[in-house]
Amino acid sequence: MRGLAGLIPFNGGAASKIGADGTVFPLGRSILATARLGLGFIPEDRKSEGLFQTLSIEQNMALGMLRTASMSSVAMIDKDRILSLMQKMQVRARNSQQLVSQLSGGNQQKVMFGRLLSAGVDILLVEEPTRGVDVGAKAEIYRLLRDFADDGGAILMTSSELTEHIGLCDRILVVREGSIVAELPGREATEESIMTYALMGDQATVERA
Amino acid sequence: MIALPLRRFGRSGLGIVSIGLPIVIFITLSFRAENFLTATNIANVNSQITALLIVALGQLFVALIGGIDISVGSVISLCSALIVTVDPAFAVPVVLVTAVIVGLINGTGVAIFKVHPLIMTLGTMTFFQGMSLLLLSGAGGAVPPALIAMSKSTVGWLPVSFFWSVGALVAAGVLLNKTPFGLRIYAIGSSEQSAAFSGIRVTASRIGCYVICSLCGAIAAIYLTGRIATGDPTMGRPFSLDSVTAIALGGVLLSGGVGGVTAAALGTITLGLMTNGMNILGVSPFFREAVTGVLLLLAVSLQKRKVIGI
Amino acid sequence: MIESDARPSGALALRLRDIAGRLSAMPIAYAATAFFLVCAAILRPNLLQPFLLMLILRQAAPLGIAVIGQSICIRLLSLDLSFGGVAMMASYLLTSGVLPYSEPVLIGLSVLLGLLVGATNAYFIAVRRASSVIVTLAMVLILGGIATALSQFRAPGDAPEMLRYIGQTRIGIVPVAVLVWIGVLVPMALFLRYSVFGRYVDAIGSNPNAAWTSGIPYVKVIFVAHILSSLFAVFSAFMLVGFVGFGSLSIGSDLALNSLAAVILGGVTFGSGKGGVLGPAVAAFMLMFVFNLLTSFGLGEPGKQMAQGAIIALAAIAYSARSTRI
Repeated sequence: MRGLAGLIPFNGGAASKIGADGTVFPLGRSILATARLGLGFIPEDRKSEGLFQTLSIEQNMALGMLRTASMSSVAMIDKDRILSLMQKMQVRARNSQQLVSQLSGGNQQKVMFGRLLSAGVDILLVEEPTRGVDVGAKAEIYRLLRDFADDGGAILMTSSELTEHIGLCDRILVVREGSIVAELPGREATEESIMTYALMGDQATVERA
Repeated sequence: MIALPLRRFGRSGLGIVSIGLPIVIFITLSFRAENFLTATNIANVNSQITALLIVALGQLFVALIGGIDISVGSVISLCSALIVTVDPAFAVPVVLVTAVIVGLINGTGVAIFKVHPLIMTLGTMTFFQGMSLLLLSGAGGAVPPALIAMSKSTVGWLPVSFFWSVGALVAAGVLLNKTPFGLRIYAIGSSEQSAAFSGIRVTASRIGCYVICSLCGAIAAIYLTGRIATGDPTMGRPFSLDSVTAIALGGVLLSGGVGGVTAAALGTITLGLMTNGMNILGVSPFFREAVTGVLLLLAVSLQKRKVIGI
Repeated sequence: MIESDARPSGALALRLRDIAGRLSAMPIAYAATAFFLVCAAILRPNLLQPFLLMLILRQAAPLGIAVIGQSICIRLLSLDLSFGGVAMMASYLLTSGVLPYSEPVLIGLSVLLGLLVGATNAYFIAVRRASSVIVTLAMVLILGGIATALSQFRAPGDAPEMLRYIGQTRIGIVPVAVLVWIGVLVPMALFLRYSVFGRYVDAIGSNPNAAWTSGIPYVKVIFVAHILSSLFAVFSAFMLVGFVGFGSLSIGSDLALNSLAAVILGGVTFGSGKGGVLGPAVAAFMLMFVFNLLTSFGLGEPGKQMAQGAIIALAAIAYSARSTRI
């Protein structure tokens, strides 16, 4: 995942994004290139790698809007857009100036999404979308992801909770020892089927219950 | 990117560069400089290196726990000024106590108040440099003859500086490798959190390292003041960065955990040989300063760090 | 209603507490400046004459400009201690005639020097990831060593006309140097507040890891910061050379230390820009004022150094203690 985002080099193989008109953009070069190609990365540890704890919600989300701006230009920040995003995601905060460190886990995660959504990305790479998030906010985050996908975006998600994949994903890819051994449609997958493929590779035959 | 195997052999910090460099320089100088391989010159080199070696060993302890002490130069200056201003009978004890106090100040600032070591020691460096100038406005003063004798005589055919060097090496080596304190330092340097969780008193050990470094400064000051037979309130100025350059050249990681007495010694020898070489070849002392700066840059850029900035 | 007998002074007490909280969170420089001005009013009232205050402001101008660059570096968790070396080299280039060009060309070359040194610092700090302190201190050794060595062969001479103008003339009672200081301060303050670069500085200072992963051009930002810092050091050198009238090797030797002290006192610490641009500027003036005050008490160079060192260490401790309390 981090390789795709451009954070660490690939061990082998290659990946690319194919635009609507068929142009191919190679991925994984650098985190800056990733941003320019319209990919967004959400790390699993939002405290240390994702959010700017000492800055406000607005400052955090504004950074998304500035992704493609040049350093010397004036920062054009659409405050209304930030507020409407906050509302759409149901971020519970006093106002947009509140420090991110004061928010609950679920709301912090929403701010992270907000930053990328305001950047207008069309592919999301997400690690652990609901780690440290309470049940109520979990449902809201799932809804956010679902809406993003329905609007035409693509999401690549990893999670340590198997059940999360099953309810949410359209397709589930099982990776074993570095290669993809199975692709299951989200609706039909069960925990047993996923685990079987994970442990036994493509030799597995799974009984349809 | 240099693809040389700069791998270090475990925690000692030794590697191709730290061992190879002094050898290369030695050989180069033997051929290029006529007076290099003479007995007088070798003895000279030894005496010049001794002070730096002592300070580098002190800096080693601080570097191993991931810190740095750039105030050690001012400690040397201060001690030198003290030696010629206080009653000769108390010179050595006063100097040692002063060093301990400075070390405690540094250690407290870094370990208890969590000030970045570079900032803390920058502050103390300036403060104590000012204090030395207050005590002694220029080089001068009378040094107790006992100290002069201790630093300048010869025992048999060996200059006494040789024994100072060996003594320092042995003391540091034993402290680092044979005592629980030494082990604790390596533990803290590799992973402070694990060390703390294992019950090691990180704060106390850290303060101890800064005290050791300042003490080394004091000892170097005693040696040097005896050697030049006069007090000099700016004597220690080059030592702060030279000691860091020396240990970095020897393979000691400034981020902690890797390094040893041999590494510090090798780095000191490298730097000492370079200085000696430039001396013999007639290079201006100020260019030497510039070369030390370049060496320092090279030495630290070869060390891998994750953090960008201070 | 249970609270109907709430004390009428409750609201006032809350107000006072709020004000006290706000005051104590302000950079130390403001309170300290007030304190020292009062001290001077009591002990050395002639220091408070407008003419002398202008002189002190003029003295503070080079420091003030250097402080701007330093504060950006510090907000990015870096540091620039190479000011002394840059100033030495620039002043040597400008006054020794070692390069036989006309004054404007020499000034342009000095600016180029600043750009190069800043870029070199940034290279070792951001690309090789060496410690900023060590890199910039090594740079002092290199630049200072070369300048001093060269000056053995060819001594520094008189300052260029243009710089003497900046350093020594005044418009009304306001020295030109102070106007130049303000002329750099205000645009930089606006730039940091409103530009994308300023936002990046906020982000990197708040969380370098997050800044890296979210695609902020970290390395570029560090380059800009250090290049600006060295550039401002060259400007400071211009002023200092202008003041003194000739090149001297001791020009700018305590710029680095004083700028660090001023930045910390001005409320800007590693990773946070709470003091803004005004805090460190006020602190720069305060430091100069304090040094003059100390001199009027008979405390010479050694005393000044002790004051510098103590300020740095104590200010750092104070800020460290403050942030852990939260």
